[in-house]
Amino acid sequence: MTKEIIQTRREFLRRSLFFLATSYSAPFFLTRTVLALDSARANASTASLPGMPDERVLVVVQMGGGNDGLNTVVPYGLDDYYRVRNTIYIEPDRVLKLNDTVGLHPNLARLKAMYDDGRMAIVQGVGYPNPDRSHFRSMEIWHTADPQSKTVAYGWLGRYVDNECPGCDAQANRINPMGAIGLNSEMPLALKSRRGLSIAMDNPDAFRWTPLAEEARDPKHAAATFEKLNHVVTASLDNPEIARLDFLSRVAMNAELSSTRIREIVKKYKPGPVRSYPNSGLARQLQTVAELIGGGLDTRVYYVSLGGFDTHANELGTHGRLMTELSEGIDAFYSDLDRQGNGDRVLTMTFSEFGRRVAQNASDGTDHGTAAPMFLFGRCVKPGIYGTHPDLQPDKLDHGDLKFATDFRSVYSTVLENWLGAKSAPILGQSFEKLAFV
Amino acid sequence: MSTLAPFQPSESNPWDKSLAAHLLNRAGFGALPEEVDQAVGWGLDRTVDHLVDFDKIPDTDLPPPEMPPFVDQVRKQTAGLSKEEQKKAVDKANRDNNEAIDKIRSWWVRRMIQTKRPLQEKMTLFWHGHLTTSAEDVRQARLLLKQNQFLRDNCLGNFCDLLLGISRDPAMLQYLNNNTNRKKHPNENYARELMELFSMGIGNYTEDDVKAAARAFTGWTYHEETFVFNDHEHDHGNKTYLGHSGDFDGSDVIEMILQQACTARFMAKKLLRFFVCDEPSEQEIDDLALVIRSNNYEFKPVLRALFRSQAFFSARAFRSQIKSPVQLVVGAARTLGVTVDEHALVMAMRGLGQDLLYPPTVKGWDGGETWINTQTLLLRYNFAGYLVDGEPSAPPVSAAARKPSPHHFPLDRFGVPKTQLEQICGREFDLNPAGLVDALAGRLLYASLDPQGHQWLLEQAQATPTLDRVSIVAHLIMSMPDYQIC
Repeated sequence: MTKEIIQTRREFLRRSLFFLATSYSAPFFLTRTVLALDSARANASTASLPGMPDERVLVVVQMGGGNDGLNTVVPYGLDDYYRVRNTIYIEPDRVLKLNDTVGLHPNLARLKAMYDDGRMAIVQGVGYPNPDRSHFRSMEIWHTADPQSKTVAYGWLGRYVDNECPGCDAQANRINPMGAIGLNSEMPLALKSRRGLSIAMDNPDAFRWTPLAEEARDPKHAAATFEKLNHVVTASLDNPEIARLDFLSRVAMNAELSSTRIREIVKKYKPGPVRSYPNSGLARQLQTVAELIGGGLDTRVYYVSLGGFDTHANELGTHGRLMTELSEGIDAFYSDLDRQGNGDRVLTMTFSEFGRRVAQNASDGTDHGTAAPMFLFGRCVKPGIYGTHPDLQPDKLDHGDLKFATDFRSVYSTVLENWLGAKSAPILGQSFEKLAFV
Repeated sequence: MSTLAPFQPSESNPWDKSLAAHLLNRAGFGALPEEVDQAVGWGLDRTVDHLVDFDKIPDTDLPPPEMPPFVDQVRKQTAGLSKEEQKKAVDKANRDNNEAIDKIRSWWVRRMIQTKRPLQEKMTLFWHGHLTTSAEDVRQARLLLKQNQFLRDNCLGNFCDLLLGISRDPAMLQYLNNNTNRKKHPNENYARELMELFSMGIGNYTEDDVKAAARAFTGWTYHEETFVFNDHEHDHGNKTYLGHSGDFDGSDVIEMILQQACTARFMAKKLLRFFVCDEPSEQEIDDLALVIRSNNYEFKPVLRALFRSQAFFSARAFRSQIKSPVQLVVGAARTLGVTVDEHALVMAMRGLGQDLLYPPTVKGWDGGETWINTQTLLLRYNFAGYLVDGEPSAPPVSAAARKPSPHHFPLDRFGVPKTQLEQICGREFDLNPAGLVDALAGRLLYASLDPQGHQWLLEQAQATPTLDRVSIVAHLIMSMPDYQIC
């Protein structure tokens, strides 16, 4: 068995573009798609669609645990809301009213300001058929956009970067390993890409290899050493050890390429005098995103997360704090982007794996539910409330849970086509009716 | 032929250093060269017995840290004092509890490093990731220690005892809210996760089963650190669960769970993924499930059979696992024989994605390739550098005033004095550069490097002043993909 060793970064980049077609036994349709797209791109310009600027960015904010939609977009005008939530309801005079029926949680004041400023859209009653109330299964469904299959290994955004290869240059045979960035030490399934075009990064300062010897810290020397240690082996991957080493080497090389680029970017970025970001996990991630956008990184998708929404007990306190974190974080982010002049380039979308039950439980909390609202932010949105509010009447519920009105894949489809300029059907498996929020 | 049938070493596949290292590293955290040699001398069976029958080996003299009182107790005791005094006392109690939680973590890591019973700690870690509870929600150190001790004491025991015990464990009762599961308002959280994640797996029960099980567990609560059955809150009504009807309680539910074939398969897959390979075959799962059932869910004979099996020594199993952060960090500390502040090691594991006592979700840690992404891989390589040298990394790159990441390594607590490393690697330091490279590769990788790799490392070693050679070569080896697998 001959082992080919890829010595240089240039070779790695070149090989990776065609690696899928030659070494993995990829499903036939995917191989064809990759090759077909590559040859199409070789002829096309780097823009995805004529007239669609390449600088558009999508930021996805994941709220993990199941955000209680009814206490976020509060149906203060509906009696049923108060009937079954005798201790955890939001008082009507504290609700930030959007219309006669619904309003926002009082701690979302900064988001209300964005709404009034025409920079926020709300989609109500988002879910999917036969909802799953398991955190993991439902989150997997949102990440893969596939409620049917249980063996999907790649995410919807991963498929987006696989298909569109943003920032890649087919003519120069160069891929961009940072089509999407997850701002955490954990790579979300949503970003998982067959061609390795997404990275996880927690902190630009920690995102590089630090050799010990002083002189080895010279960037060129460090890069050469790193490449030597992590050379990619393209032998047959039947042997599990080789398969593991191959996987590790690829991640290492992606890390090296990305880390160099990211360091260039953050060096260029000059933060201006801006109201400082709040001290929260979400704000820290969004601040890093703003830094990368401001520094000119051509990544199209960023993914940040906020956890703790699984409010089975004592919901009001916990949920209230999370609402504050969301509101202040997003507001600080857009203030920063506006200062940079990038406020209209960035669309932000929030989601959670499910909402919560209509009635509260005996622990002043709520159990896992179904449909919930999604938020979209940015000057690019067509502001307002979309979709219908789910019915709260007991006979209209699904075993005590809300029935969804809008399939989440419609929201994805809208974002993919109308914002990112990508064809959504190959990514989502079929076409979904789009909404008008962007 | 069953994949769980015993593996027979032969001339073409002898019991040698690489097989011994494979067994020791899977059953523990990072074997030392002398331990590998000893195992080779003993042979496969004696080594397995030594690992599994650890109750014959004296436990490490490492008692757990002192636990502070419950915050509620302090609140009661200070009820007579002024509001200010009481607040001071309660605040102190909270701080003491947070510190105690960290002490538990450091203590556990020290046990992992020093233990003469590696399988005991490894199985405790397995159970911690399976019957999960998070300190994020359970803030009383006493309860977390109690659970950790329970898992350790029962780690190779019977699954029925484990499930029953964990259903009565105060930390678990709080974590999954069964302490507020009452007849009038059942709380489904525990019942659901018990079935979905702890025993049967999704798809093997219905939503109605979840509701019925929730009713069966009503009234199971705790007071301070003791389980309490609150009969007044228990639903004595008829329930239909997994096709049977009756006035079931929690222990009945567990008994019925253990009668389901899916339970043995679910646990078989978990054990295979943890000890053997990330993608066990259906045959391997079936074969191990049979072993589990025929041993009536006693894990000691099950593990004994697993470690002796063909599946365990199959080509698919060797060097096929990506080390978990615990495996990597504890293994590095053990094999380099370094004494490092265990809190620093706990922080390192956290940065790499495995925060002990704080599993990210009830599902625990997915493991396998999910440990590795661009960020965690760079952190692994850098961790190795901090461990052997401890110098802070170069100053931050950007001008943005960035708030520190939670994955920030406490660098000032790392750093092994060079003389210690040299002592550990013993005479390897005195050897010529070639000998040093071989010795370190053997110690860290349990294998020799390919000629090209050896040559290149040798050149690095020769270019380095003698004083720094050990740490630099060790760091380079640990910055290779080969070091990430075991």
